[in-house]
Amino acid sequence: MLEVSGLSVAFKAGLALRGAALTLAKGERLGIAGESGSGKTLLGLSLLGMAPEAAHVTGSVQFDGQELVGAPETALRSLRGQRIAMVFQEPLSALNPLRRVGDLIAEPLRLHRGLSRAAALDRAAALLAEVGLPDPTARLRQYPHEMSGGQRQRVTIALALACDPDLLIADEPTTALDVQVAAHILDLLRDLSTRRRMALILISHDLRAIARVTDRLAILYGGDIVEQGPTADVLAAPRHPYTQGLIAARPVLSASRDRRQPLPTIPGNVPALADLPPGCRFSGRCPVELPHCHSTRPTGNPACHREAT
Amino acid sequence: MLLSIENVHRRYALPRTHLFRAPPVIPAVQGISLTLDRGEILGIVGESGSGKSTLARMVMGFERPDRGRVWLNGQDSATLPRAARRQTQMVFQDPYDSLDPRRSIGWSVAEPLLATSMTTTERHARAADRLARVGLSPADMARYPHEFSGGQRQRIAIARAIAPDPALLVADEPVAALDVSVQAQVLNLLMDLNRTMGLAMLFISHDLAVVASIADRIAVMQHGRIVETGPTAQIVAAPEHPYTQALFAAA
Ligand SMILES: Nc1ncnc2c1ncn2[C@@H]1O[C@H](COP(=O)(O)OP(=O)(O)OP(=O)(O)O)[C@@H](O)[C@H]1O
Ligand SMILES: Nc1ncnc2c1ncn2[C@@H]1O[C@H](COP(=O)(O)OP(=O)(O)O)[C@@H](O)[C@H]1O
Ligand code: SF4
Ligand SMILES: [Mg+2]
Ligand SMILES: [Mg+2]
Repeated sequence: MLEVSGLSVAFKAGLALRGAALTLAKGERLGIAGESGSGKTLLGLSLLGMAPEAAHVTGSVQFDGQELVGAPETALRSLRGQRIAMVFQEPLSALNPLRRVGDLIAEPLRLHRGLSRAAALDRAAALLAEVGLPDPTARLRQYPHEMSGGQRQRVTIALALACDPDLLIADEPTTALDVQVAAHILDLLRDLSTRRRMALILISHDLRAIARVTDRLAILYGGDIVEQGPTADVLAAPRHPYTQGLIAARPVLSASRDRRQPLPTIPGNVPALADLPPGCRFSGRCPVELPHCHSTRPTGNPACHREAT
Repeated sequence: MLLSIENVHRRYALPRTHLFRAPPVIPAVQGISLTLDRGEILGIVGESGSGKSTLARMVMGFERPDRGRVWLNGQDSATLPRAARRQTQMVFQDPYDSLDPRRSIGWSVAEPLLATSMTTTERHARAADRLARVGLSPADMARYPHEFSGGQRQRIAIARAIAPDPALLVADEPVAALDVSVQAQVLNLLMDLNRTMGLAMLFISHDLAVVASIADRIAVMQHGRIVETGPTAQIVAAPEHPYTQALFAAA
């Protein structure tokens, strides 16, 4: 259904995404993980033709055979309204604060589906029920700020579902929420994807969230997909040194951990775009770096010169 | 004993919804008692709204409990003189809560020392030393917060908090906004300061795995009360309260 190849995004300062390749079948759930600044949001936006003005996007994104890179804005907009939807990290910014929740959800239904106001509000209430909001009919009359963070995120998901999308892209949908609310939202996304045979791309720096929801996982670093595979396999036996560092740095609950021992870390920070090394993006931070890593870009999956030897 | 929290309560009144009815009241903290020894790290874990930050504000003396007391070094924190107050410092989830974006980081780190008897030269030397301790360079003193990454900004906020040599650091969600890899770096820094400076900590987080990786003891909070408390190893090996068990399931 979705086929991405050679997708690159260039800014003045450098390449923020270098030839990304991904495929996604109907109903499949893909996770995209990596530290902040690794290009996750940019990848998500580029799939929708929504990359920032300053970005130069090249390569190919095919959705059901239709090429989206360079497609006219009108075609992209109708696709975004109906077949592809997106949910962002901060629910408040996605919801117009001056409009009641019911009207917010009813609007795309009236626009794209031609429903009457009453029918659209009925459908909106059904959607709010589907995303697990109690008292859906009463909620229609509430304003976004009258709800908790978790409830607002449910509303943005209901809004995204309004036109039965085939693909939902969720960028850090639970990062602003507390653990238990986050767990409910993640379970909701997984169940909706199963129930509606809707493909899902979950973007998150939280590997626990990814593990909970997705079948396949792509690890992004410095604009490169450095490793991808079935989520369980990548998490249980990571092969790329960056993935290994990411997984080791995650605090795990263990009664036997000696708390006087430091936690494993990845040294340093993600470099700014202009300072990324031309070869392997991870060189400079990699604990098992080889002499040619800095200048020669590794290929394959995982994309690492160690793997080739 | 460094800190003793004795049966503290704190309620907040919300705006009145009806003219003739009493305004709704939120019981944010409902009778909490805790103690903390010198050099010890006490972790507080609980869901959003359970009262963690309210408790932290009372320990810092930013807010008075409605009932109960907070003792610091045997003195009532409500009547503590200013110099003694420097004994407790705080770091927040957002480093900008303690860093002024328009001031150089050298200024921000030295600022808690302004009211002391230290000379300008001494304050400068102390700020340089504290930046070095958190892994930054004294040469960074002339730079501004926006020139640093999120993790580095949190290090600068920590450098500022440890500038006056506090005995207690209250850390409210200090790594919640950071990436996993940077989280571990900041947790290691806090453990290192605990070891080398004997700095005691009240470490607050909604994430049980994070709290368990750093704390000697853990107190689990729900609806303004402590529902379970004990040494970290014991809480992790055999959580007793259903709420603690639920936190495990989410972790
Ligand atoms: N100034 C205030 N006015 C009114 N209510 C308040 C105020 N401060 C806190 N509360 C309420 O007190 C309760 C406890 O809040 P607190 O901020 O201590 O929670 P928390 O455990 O720190 O949550 P989080 O994990 O979201 O930071 C919440 O219901 C909150 O809405
Ligand atoms: N509008 C922009 N102009 C210039 N650089 C940008 C812009 N948006 C993103 N970038 C750069 O692209 C890289 C990837 O950013 P982003 O996709 O937001 O990362 P993530 O979502 O993984 O945190 C970063 O180096 C970021 O600074
Ligand atoms: S290519 Fe080299 S620097 Fe990059 S991850 Fe592999 S070993 Fe490390
Ligand atoms: Mg992002
Ligand atoms: Mg709080």
